[in-house]
Amino acid sequence: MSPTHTINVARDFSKEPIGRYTTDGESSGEVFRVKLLAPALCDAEVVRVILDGTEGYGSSFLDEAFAGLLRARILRVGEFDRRIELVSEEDPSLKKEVQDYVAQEEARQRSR
Amino acid sequence: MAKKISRVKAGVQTRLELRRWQTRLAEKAGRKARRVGGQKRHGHAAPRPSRSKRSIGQSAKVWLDLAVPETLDLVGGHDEVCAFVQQIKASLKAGNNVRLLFDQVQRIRLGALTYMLGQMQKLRFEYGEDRLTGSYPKKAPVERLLSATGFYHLLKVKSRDGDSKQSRQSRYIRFRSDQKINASEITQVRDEILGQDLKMPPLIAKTVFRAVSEAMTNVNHHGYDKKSFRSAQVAGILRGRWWMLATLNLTNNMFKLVFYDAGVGIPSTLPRKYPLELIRQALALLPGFQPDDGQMIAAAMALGRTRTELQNRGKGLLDLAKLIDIVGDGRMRIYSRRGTLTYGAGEQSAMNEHGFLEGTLIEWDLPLHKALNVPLESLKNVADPYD
Repeated sequence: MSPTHTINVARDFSKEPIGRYTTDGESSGEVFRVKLLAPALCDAEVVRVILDGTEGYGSSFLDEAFAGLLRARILRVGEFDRRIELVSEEDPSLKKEVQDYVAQEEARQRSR
Repeated sequence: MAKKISRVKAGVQTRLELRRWQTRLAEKAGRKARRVGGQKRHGHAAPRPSRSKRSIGQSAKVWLDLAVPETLDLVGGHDEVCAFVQQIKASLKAGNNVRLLFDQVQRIRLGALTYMLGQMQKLRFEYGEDRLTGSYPKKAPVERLLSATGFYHLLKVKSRDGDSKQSRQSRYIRFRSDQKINASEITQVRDEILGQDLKMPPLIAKTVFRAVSEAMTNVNHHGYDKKSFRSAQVAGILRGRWWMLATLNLTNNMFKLVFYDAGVGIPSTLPRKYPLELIRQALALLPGFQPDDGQMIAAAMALGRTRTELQNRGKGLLDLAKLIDIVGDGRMRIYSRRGTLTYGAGEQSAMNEHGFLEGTLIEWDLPLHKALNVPLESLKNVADPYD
């Protein structure tokens, strides 16, 4: 297992990430998680995700791609910050937004 | 001589036969048009056209003329716009062919135009492509708007001045419509309306993408109910369908973007996503109280801010409102069924209207200089000759 794997969303996935589920299209959050993020987490201890360079992100995409890692049991509660490094110079608020979705999912799983 | 009279008689008979045949054909075509969508005649829900308008041998159509209101504006004229659309629908349902008379129209606002556009396309799908048409308005800016946005193209009305007569001050795009989430339409609309001379700062451009992409995602997930379609064929054309329009006016310093779907509306979909008790809590309503449509839209906004234990409920309508927050000015209005919500200038208000708007319409009005993040003076130019 390599220490770090880098994914550039705009270069490796789509410049127009959009939608939540696979049924929303090939550029959805679920497709990104299943095709890129989950395999990268199997290969590397830390996955660095560069969010810059796209047309933008909707909350559905971000929630499904990242908080979806916990729902799909790819990451456990408390693992996200250690295993995923988010980079966004164009819109620094994205990092906090994703962390909020993950925290919300963790709270939901803890409460069960 | 007798042979000549006989030939003349035969000719007259042939012409009479031809005329009878044309009449039968015209009646058959009329019956066929009325059968489209499998609707029965619907009593006196709509006025019936005058028989005197029928002209044998020319067009088989009898048109019911409906005068479009002088002003079509959802702000201040919500009920009138909704009532007019209902009148068109009822007239088609009653078996009439409808011609919209734009002669007296003085002003059409983009929100009302988008609603009309979406509804007209839906009605054409449901009742037949050739049963709805329109006339030309007297006012040039109205004609230019109807032409440039593609409204005339939709109604198969030939544009008199083409779509090229746009001024630099006032720009429109031809309406966009699709049944799937289509990211490239968002960026194309944004880039087309701005042209080569105007540019949005990246963060605002990204927020436009965010707002419309979430609106599209919402439509794809729960905008339409399969039970609401008139037939499987209509469902195939309408399911997931949205419409989008944008204008930019340098004289008024305004950038407008409108997104519409003709689905079941937020007040119907929200109780499917959240328990009614949670909706009441978000609105601080007492147990047992049934929220109205305006309150339902307000609840959809509030629930986006609330952390719930429900799985992946998203941010509700907050992504749509973020555009106003990022620009720091402007107004967003959401119309759904009888509810309307206005968001802007740090305030939010919801109300219930009398008229029923089918589906959900979202309208963003942004001061252009703020959307572009440039000084207002840089946009002041020659007055628009058409406005």
